[in-house]
Amino acid sequence: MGTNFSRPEKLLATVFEMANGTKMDLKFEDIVVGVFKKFPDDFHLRGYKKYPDSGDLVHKPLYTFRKKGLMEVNHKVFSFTDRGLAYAEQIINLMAGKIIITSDRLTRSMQKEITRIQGTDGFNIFIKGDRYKINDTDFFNYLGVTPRTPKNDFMGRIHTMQEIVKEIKNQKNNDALRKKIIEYHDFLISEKFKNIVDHFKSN
Amino acid sequence: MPKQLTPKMKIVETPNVIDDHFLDIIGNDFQFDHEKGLAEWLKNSVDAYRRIDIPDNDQNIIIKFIDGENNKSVFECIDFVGMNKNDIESAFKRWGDPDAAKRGKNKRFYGGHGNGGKFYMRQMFNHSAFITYKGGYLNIFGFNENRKYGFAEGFNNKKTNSDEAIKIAGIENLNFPLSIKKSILDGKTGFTVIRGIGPKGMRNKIKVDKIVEKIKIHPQSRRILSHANVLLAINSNREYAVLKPEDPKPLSGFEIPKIFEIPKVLSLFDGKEEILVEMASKKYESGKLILKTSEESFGKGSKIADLNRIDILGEIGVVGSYQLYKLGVTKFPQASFIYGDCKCPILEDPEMDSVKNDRTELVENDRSKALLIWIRNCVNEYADEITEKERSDQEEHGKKISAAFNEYLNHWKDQFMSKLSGSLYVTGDDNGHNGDKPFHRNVLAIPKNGLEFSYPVAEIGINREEKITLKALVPNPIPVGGIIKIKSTNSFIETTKNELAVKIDMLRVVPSGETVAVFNIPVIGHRIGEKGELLASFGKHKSQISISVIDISSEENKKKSKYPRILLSGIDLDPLNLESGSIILTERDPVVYQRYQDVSEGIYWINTKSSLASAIIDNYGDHSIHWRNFLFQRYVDIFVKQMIYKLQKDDFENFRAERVDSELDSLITKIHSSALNDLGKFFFEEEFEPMGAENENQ
Repeated sequence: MGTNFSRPEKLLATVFEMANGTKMDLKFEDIVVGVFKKFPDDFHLRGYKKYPDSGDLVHKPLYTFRKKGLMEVNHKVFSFTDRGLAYAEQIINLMAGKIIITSDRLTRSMQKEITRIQGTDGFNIFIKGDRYKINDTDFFNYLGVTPRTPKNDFMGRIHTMQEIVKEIKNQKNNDALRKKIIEYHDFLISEKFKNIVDHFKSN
Repeated sequence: MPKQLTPKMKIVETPNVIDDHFLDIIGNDFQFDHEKGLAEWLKNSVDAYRRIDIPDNDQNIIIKFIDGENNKSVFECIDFVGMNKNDIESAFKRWGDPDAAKRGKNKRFYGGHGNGGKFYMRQMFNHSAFITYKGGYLNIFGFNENRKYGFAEGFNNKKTNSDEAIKIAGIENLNFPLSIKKSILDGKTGFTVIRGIGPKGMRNKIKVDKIVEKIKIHPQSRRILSHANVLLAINSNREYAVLKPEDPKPLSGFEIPKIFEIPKVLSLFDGKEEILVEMASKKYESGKLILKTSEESFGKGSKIADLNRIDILGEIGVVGSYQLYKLGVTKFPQASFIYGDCKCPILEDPEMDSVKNDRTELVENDRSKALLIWIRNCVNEYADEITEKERSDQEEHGKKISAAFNEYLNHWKDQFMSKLSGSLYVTGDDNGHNGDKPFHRNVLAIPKNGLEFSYPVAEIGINREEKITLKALVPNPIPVGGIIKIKSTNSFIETTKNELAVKIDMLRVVPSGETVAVFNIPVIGHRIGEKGELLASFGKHKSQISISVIDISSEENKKKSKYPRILLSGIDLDPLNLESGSIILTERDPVVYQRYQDVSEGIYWINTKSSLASAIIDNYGDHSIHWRNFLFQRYVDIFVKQMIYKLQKDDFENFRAERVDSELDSLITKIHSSALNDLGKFFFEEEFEPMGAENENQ
């Protein structure tokens, strides 16, 4: 299984299986052992085929997943985000030989995010045209973070929202409200609160 | 055609015959106050100078009061012009002559019919007279006890030399300028002494202070006093005071008089239609209203309450005067700090002359009505400005109170947090660039050399008792009962304990089994910037700590705090950008707010414009217990936030709702217990003042 897949994809698939397709918390050590058991040739310590590698082979991709908004990390305890679950599920399916039919429909996790955004005060003020009333709290709410959110989680959320916006743009039959999300995103990220984004990027 | 009932005839005009009782009838209406009567005398004196074209600053007048016995106290008003018999016959003797003051001159005078001064003499004294000297002739004319007037026997145009005249007038000892005396002696000028004997209400002892106070603010005398040289003489005292009206000290923030230009046309609604009234013309330029303020209210009980008015100025003097309440001004009490004057030349236009002879109020016509309504509106407008300033001052004051409460809570918060084990108080975020580290109590270590301060250096806040920890190894080298000497090398760094005795209850056992005595030495720094050493010695065993006195309230030192710093939006300065002032939040911002840059500095803002905060301040004020409770609850919010983040960070695997719930219960209990012990008055005493309570708390 999965011989044509990259190490990060194998890692993601393993974590998905270990978490039973949920957002369950997993310790780093358990992931190291789990992925080694499943893919010993890929995740052994260099020169010691019987021992797992707990270094960059596992560590690095896990933190890349975080930056991409696929996983959350806290004190070396990892869990999937909605987007991470959806992505990992696709890999599992591919590994199982299932044919993935690309659909015009947004994934469930994206739908959930869109519903969340549409319910925020900031978005509702935005669609009424009162842009000047949008404050930094609206910006943080849009991303689902706070000013205290660690940098990598913050950037992960930016990445996630960018992916959602990209996906909405790819949709053929967007309603007016969805189109407004694209505008709202650009207004917040590239215009009004670019300084905050830059702050988190640089720190 | 009707039949003519009376034959055509021509009346032969004959002078009116008026019984003297008619003067009593009119005189009774005058009901003089002395200040009003004296104002009339002053006006007459100024008119006398004006008739001979003496400029304001050369017009010398002396008001003299002489206490007496047997109802013979005396009021005098003296000028250095003088009258001749003709003046008396043609002007003074005549009652009700509208041109009495003019005496043929084509200019404006203070006096009108010339009745005021005469009636004052007639009605308000046992008897009165004026002794007047001009061109070598002396005349004494006055009223006797029966209120009949006439010349004094032997003094009807009596040829007299000036020296003699001065003596007869009783002013030989008067302290008036030599130049004037010389002019009189040389016959170049004369004088008039108006003398009233036995004034009503003060026939023996004259209430000089009261009269003078009122003369200074009376509308008819105020302007005269400000322009002419009026001196006050009392009894035989030869030192005379200059009588000048004093403008009240203005209200703070309203020091500069406010000037309103009178519109060229005012509209007046007469109940049926709007009338446009001209307030300026080619001949009469438009006027202006000048409003001033007084720091002291002109309200009831004020000695200068009469000044709460607008004087209408004519070409010369006041032609009308209105108390603000009479104008219909409604914006009291703020309006009771306002006074002023209004100059409107067109009021003296003969085609619609609005000036009454008694100059108390204007003639009631469309112009005066329109003007008075306009003045009323201007005063109300100015009173509104005072209201706005008061509101703004109150807001500022409220901010100070809120800031003091918040400072008090911040201080308590630091104490409370230092008491809690397992500090909640990690400032900053999780990115590893967060200034301060959590506070950890050090494990008690054995003192080097047997005697050692816990730290080699310390900073202490000014004027507050700080504790410096000293450790001693017991029993060797320092036995129980041993005395350790403490000394400061700087008198501005003081300790109240110069000797410390080792007692059993101070002993602690360190992990390695030795016994250590721990002392907390109270130290107070009295001046910022002072540095010194605190020395501890027991025989040859010595230790020292370097101490600096700092301003813990300074922005720099506040930043160093290991605990979060809680600030009030719109009130406290932004410590990260002092030049920008405070941060302004709105109802839409969170009640407890942080910007991304606040996180690493451990700063929280309480949003004073949140809906509940605004409502509490509006309804109860910044000093209220409601507001204090609101602030305290925000501190609780912040403790809770801190606790949640700490829990997530320290024990993520167990970071579940139940765990958070349980930790919350424990934390809130501790907060409430500590707050009740430390902040009781803050919650329960209406009149609680943060500063006093803060000292008590310390």
